[in-house]
Amino acid sequence: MNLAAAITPDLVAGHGLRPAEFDSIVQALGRDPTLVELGIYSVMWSEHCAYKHSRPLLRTLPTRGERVVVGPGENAGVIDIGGGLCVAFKMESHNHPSAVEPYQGAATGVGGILRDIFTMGARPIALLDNLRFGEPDAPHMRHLIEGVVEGIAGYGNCVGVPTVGGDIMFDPGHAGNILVNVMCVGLVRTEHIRRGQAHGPGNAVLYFGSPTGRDGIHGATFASGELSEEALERRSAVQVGDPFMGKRILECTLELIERGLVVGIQDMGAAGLTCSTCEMAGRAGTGIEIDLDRVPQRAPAMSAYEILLSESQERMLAVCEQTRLAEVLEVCERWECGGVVIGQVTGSGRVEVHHRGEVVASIPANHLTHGAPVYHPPEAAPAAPEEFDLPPVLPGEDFKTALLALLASPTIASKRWAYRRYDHMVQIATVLRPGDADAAVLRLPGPGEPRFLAVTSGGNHRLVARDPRAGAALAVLEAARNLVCTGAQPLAITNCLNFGSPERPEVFGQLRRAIEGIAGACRALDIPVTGGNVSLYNESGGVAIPPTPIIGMVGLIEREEHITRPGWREPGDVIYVLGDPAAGLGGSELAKYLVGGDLPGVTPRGPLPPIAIDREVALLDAVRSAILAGLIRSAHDVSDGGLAVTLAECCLLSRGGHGAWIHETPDGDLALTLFGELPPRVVVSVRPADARAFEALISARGVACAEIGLVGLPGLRCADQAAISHSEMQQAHETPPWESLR
Amino acid sequence: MPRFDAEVVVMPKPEVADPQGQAIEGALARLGLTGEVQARHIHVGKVFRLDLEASDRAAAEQALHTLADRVLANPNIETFQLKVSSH
Repeated sequence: MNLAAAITPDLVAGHGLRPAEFDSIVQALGRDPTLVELGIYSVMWSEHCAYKHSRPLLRTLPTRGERVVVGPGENAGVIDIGGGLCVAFKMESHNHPSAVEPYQGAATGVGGILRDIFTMGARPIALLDNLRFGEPDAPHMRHLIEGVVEGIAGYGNCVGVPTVGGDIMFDPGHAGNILVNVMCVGLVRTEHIRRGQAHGPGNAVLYFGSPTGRDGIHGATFASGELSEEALERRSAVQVGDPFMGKRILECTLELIERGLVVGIQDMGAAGLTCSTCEMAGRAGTGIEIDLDRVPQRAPAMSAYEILLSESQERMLAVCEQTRLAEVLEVCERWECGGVVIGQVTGSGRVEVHHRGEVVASIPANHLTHGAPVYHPPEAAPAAPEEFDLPPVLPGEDFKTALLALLASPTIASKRWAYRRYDHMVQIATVLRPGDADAAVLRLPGPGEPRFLAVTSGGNHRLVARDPRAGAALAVLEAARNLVCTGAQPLAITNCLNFGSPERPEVFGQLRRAIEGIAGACRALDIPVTGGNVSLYNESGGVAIPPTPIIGMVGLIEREEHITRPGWREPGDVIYVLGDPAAGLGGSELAKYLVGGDLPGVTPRGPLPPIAIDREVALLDAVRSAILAGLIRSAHDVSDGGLAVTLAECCLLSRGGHGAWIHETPDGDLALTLFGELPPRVVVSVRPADARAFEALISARGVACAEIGLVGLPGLRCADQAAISHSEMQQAHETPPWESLR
Repeated sequence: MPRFDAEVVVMPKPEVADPQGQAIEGALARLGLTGEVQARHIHVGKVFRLDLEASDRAAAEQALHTLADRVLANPNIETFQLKVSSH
């Protein structure tokens, strides 16, 4: 590539910059940018880094709370959980890399989110993955599924962080653009929290970790007219992760932070060296000067453009005082991370880059990080879903057929085929494992009585597609319900907003409504959003994916006896359904199943039943109060597949193999009662001796409470419907998705 | 049909990170084996050998290319070279 290339309008457009953005750059620099500078701006002002379309919307999210230590804008959010301990957590997407190269895409997604967490000074203790695929019957999709799951396992297992949760859904709407979202949770002592800020002019800027190669260099580069064969070949150079190096930079970073040797530290993720230098200087209001000739390089003869925009994995940038430099280098050496000083902090407010004796870029840091324009694109209200008639009451055999079919459907069926490949026990703190409960529960370190952290992540895009505002609020409420059902108090959320192009009015309409829904639910629950990620332009063949906001939530369990599981405990326990009766089948798994043609006139669309958030909050409060009062033996949230699937799961998760006899269903329409998913409900079981006290506690909170049956012999018997044996349910539920589709 | 001896050599693309190769470089240094001779830029690949039956050499090469591109190599991160010789 010709570095002295004239900056033509085509080249600017090829870098994804609009004419008005280019004018702003020329104004800030007082001249035309060099090609290197154009590349830097292209990356820093991309949606991924600058949130050009989403920033005003994200500002409406509630981010404050008494526990919030670090809010949005840093590498990860941090909340205080008492006892001098804080939780750092964040979620990121790696959708496009995983679609191209599933194994490495997913693996480097895990590596990237781990760096975000340990960069804050926190030791990663858990990973969660939210995956969205097309229907698993296509051979190419099977290849993507296998690759992504192996990639997650390959990185997470090697680096020694347990993968404890997440969700997997299959939908034709994600076939052309799969989603791979990864969340990481870490623990940090309050005094060790570090920020990605380059303070103190004169301080050394240090590079450590893997050398820089030509990996994942920004695609915009190649839109310029000077493509050689060689360059085309390079473009496909995907990032390859090295979990063992990941582990070394993790330990090196934590030691540097715990010994107080660094002033600020930042990982090199998207846009690598460019992003990390600009952001560190921008946040601190300082400048940074670096010399690319000192950057360790894997490939010969790399240009300044390539070095700056490389996305090679497992690289870190640290700022330290000159007097501590020798100690810092000793730590890097010991962890075999090869520390090199590549520059220094300046007071100039500029990011200045030298290469082969020339200044190849000199940009005001603040303009790069805060000067990106904000767009308010036109929006359109999403189309209202079609109405459909409720299916008639299911006759006996149909109930059994429908339930077994739903248990075996790829989205509902056990995800054992995936999580059995993940190490979920490493670090030996996992109390509730994947598949055990609605959320994972981890034991917290520390003296005294043990405390526990509950973590969950998910989001049902089918609901969001029908009603973005209500659907996104429901994703927050479901995450909270998952935590509450394990006995935890929800504390804070992170999120990953996966949408199509914001330049489509209907997509921007979805995005705005979804963010409003998240904000509304968080305010009602009084929990903050401490950070997150926006992944836009998820499209293929000109069609956007269904709007898919994923919510990650962390909660605290103060006492061991509050940990609650979903499985039945003892025969004779009374089974209750808490919450308002099901009000519709729109967006339900049953509706999806019925499209197969079993009942004519039913379409998968259909509006969501109305949701009253304050009633959902009351439900959560009631369940949590009953758990704290020791009145609940088991609790399980009603979600995909409705009450019938929830009851089946309570049977399957019963350690004693107990079943349920459901003698009564709260209202008339059996299909609606058993398979309706909304409004949200919770199934609990209670000792007969506690039944009165339990009912009184729930009723006092104005929450509907219906006794529907008893825990009993194995299997599920529902009123006058055909009984279903434990093994029939187990076989349906444990079948991997591709086998059920054969 | 004529038989051919075929070989596919799969190597990581030069631009792609090769953690295995880097690990070996590290091991050489740790074992003190980098004193007199410098071994650098180590890359780890793999070799496949197979028998092919095909109507002629061109058909064999064509079939081998498909096999390598679709199964033996990952074109995202690896390149391959083919060798076909008469049995």
